[in-house]
Amino acid sequence: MRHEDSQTPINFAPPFAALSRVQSIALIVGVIGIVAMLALSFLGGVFGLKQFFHAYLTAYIFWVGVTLGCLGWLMLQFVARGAWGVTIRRVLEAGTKTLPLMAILFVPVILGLHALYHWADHDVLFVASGEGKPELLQLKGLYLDAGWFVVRFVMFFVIWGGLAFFINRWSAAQDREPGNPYYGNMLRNISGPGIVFFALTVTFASVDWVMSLDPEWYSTIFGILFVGGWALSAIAFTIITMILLSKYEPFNRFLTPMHFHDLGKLLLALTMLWAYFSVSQLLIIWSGNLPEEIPWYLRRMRGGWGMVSILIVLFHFAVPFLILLSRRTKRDTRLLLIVTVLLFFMRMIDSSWLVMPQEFVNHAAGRPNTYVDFSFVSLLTALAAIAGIGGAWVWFYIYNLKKMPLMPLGDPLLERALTHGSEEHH
Amino acid sequence: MSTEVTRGTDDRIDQYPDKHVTEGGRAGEELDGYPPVIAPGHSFASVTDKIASLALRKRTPIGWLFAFFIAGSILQLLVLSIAYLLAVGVGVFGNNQPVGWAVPIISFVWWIGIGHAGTLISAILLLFRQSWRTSINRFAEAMTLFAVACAGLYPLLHTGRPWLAYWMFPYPNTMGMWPQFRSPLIWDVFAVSTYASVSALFWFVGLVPDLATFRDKSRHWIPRTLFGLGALGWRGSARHWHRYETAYLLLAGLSTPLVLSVHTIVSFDFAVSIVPGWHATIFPPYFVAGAVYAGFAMVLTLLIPIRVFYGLEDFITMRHIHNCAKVMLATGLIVFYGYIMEAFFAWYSANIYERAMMWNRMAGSYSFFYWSLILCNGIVPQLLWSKRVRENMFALFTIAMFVNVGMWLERFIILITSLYRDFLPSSWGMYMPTIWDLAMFVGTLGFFVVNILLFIRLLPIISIFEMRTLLPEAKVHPEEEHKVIEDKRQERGDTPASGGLLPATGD
Repeated sequence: MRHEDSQTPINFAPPFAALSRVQSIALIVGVIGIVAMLALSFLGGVFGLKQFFHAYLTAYIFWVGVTLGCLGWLMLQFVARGAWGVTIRRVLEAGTKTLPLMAILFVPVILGLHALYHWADHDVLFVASGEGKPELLQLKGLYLDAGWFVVRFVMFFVIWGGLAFFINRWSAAQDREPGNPYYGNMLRNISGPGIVFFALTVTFASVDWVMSLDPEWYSTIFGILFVGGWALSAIAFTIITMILLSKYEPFNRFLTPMHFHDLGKLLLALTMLWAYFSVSQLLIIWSGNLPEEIPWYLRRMRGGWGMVSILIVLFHFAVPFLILLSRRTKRDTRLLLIVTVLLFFMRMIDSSWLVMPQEFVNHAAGRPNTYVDFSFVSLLTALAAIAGIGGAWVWFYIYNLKKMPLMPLGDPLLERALTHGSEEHH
Repeated sequence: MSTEVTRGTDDRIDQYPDKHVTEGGRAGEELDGYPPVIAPGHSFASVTDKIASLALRKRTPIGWLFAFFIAGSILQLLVLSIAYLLAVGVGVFGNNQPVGWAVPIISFVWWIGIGHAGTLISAILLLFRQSWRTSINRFAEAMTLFAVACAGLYPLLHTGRPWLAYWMFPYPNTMGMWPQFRSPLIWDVFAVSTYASVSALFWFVGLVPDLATFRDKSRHWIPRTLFGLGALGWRGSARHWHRYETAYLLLAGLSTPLVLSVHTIVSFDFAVSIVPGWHATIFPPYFVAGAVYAGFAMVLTLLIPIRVFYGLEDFITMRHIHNCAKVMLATGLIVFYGYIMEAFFAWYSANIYERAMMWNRMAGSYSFFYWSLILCNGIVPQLLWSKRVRENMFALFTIAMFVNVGMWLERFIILITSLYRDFLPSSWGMYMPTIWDLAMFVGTLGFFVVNILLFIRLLPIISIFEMRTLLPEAKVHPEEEHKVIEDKRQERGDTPASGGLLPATGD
């Protein structure tokens, strides 16, 4: 040490003891969630197996959304380069490392293909019904096909996995050789094109996994809605992690309200963007009022799901938007934590709102494509499933978080991130 | 894992001797090896003199006169075509059944889109504290105003009876008629008029301190009086500045939603219908991205020659050019994504009308324009991935021109190919613009350029006072900054640090 100082150096190692405690809690919550989900589906549910798989899919798209959102933010911060990105880099990286888990967790979706996706029943596709709809389905049999569905799933995970693998590898290498610009350049070079591939794969994944639950319905904004929604889930999750970690070394040594102000701005921006995309879709479909589009909304705008829709408008947008506008909220970690947890929970409700109403649609029976009223049990099953998968996800996430120092020590912007709060302008 | 502290805070500041010159406060700038937002070696006086000399000069440059002569001649074409339109009626346009919306609406959307770069640069980049906006915001805002003026002509003239245009506004009248509030067309009236007025206000408020500078530097009494009137008695006192900053930030906040709202509503004009090719939920974000894309292409089209002609390379540096090119690449990719989604979902919808519409675009009578559009907006801008292309002014200018053309073609394709093959084959028909359609469009180009030239000649095209804040003299000195850091640290309850927070790095 060149300087005499009374200050002890920052220890960048994660707070192991605290993290292990959270891991244990996650496991317990996860087990309770799975038991509750099974009980609700098969004892209390109306549709048994169908309900189970719809709830599972809800939980899957919610958590894969956090994973992929982390990947998207990670690439974006490599391209944009700012102090905010350096501070949350390790948290995002740990999020992307849950990809292998999410790949394995997709297997039940494939097993439940027939319970989830009407188009997977080939005989239904080719048997004409009174309404002529199966003919419509025949026209897109090339895309909505079980084999291609699995092939596309593999392609998505190869692309995401490849991006996450190389980014994490180079990031670790950058830690070992801080002076070497090679890794920083590679990280930037992969991230630009990576974002392009990311947007396209997320779009087609959203079509495959969620839009095709109703094989007749389509909406061109759907992919962007998922990119935005998943980015919101991930930034909310990141903020929650950062606030919880900010009590411990190393973050308690240098995080200032300024860091959270930046993250709060991103949260606000994404909340607005998500609402903008959602309103665009609603307004255009509502005013068009076409028979192939509007049933998707009718199912969600009446009865019990209608109440959920109002909750989403209020607590996924209006309330957090108004609270986040204030500068104080973004800088006060307690307030920010409350709003962020609310938003994160509303992301779960939104995922349920996207998937669960499809459970009630009975295509195969030749009945009209209508809605059955909302069952509160089905919403609860979805939330239990989210807790179930979430337990495994959070456990594995923390397992990855514990492996690396909490700040990218080789990042050339490290010192800017560490002293970020002291160069405040406004 | 424990690390050691090796460097002190003093070293941290010394490490960036030129930090304040390259300041933007935005991280990562030096790393990219890009030049700073203002070239080194400038002082308060040299910045003021350089920018003021562009307008406050006795002699008008020959090049300016030449350009003004050409643009002014083209402007006469606009005057002529408006006169002919008013004398004969809207029949002079090529619009008819089934293509009822054509070149006038295409041009309207094209011009409105171009304006968006100005609003984005001045409002959103200000809120995000992007200092590179400083030397181009004034110019881009002026561009916005003139583009909106061009755009505003079209709906007015397209009504055929512009003297009754006030019917578009809701007011109690003897006819007992109200506009259809559920129609996005009436939302457009509000959106565009709000956009025009807020942009004008924002631009003017930004000009006030510089108009005072011009007032003080003018020798002749006429410009001194005129600039003085515009400066609203600005004396530059601390109180003036304080209020000014607050007002400017508030206006930026108010302008920000306009970046999204205007083109969103323009996209609703199409998307709320059920016409295949128009009724697409992706339209709002895709139109907004397209507008910013077109706007940045126009910014580059104008800045690249002006920068060279007036020798402004010190103020509009490669950093600005690079950033504009990057924004163009990013928004261009979103637009291209929109094209892919339109094509994919036309097929995926399994709707025969959607599929037929897309097939007609790709292989029908106007397929040449569709593929030109893909080339101009989708393929050519991919060259911007290369840093070498972004640094080559000629290449960049050419790409910007491709995008200008491409964005016009985009609206052409959306309008014409969605309308010319209707649901009923009996009502199919081709569209061909008339000479007056084109004359009016070319005329607005003249109108636009004349305005730009007058602006360059008469007003400060770069914000003088904001440029001065980028200079090293405007910054707090390192010692003072050090003190600020220490104070903050004490506030947080840390022990006064003589050591930095850095981990060991190799040595």
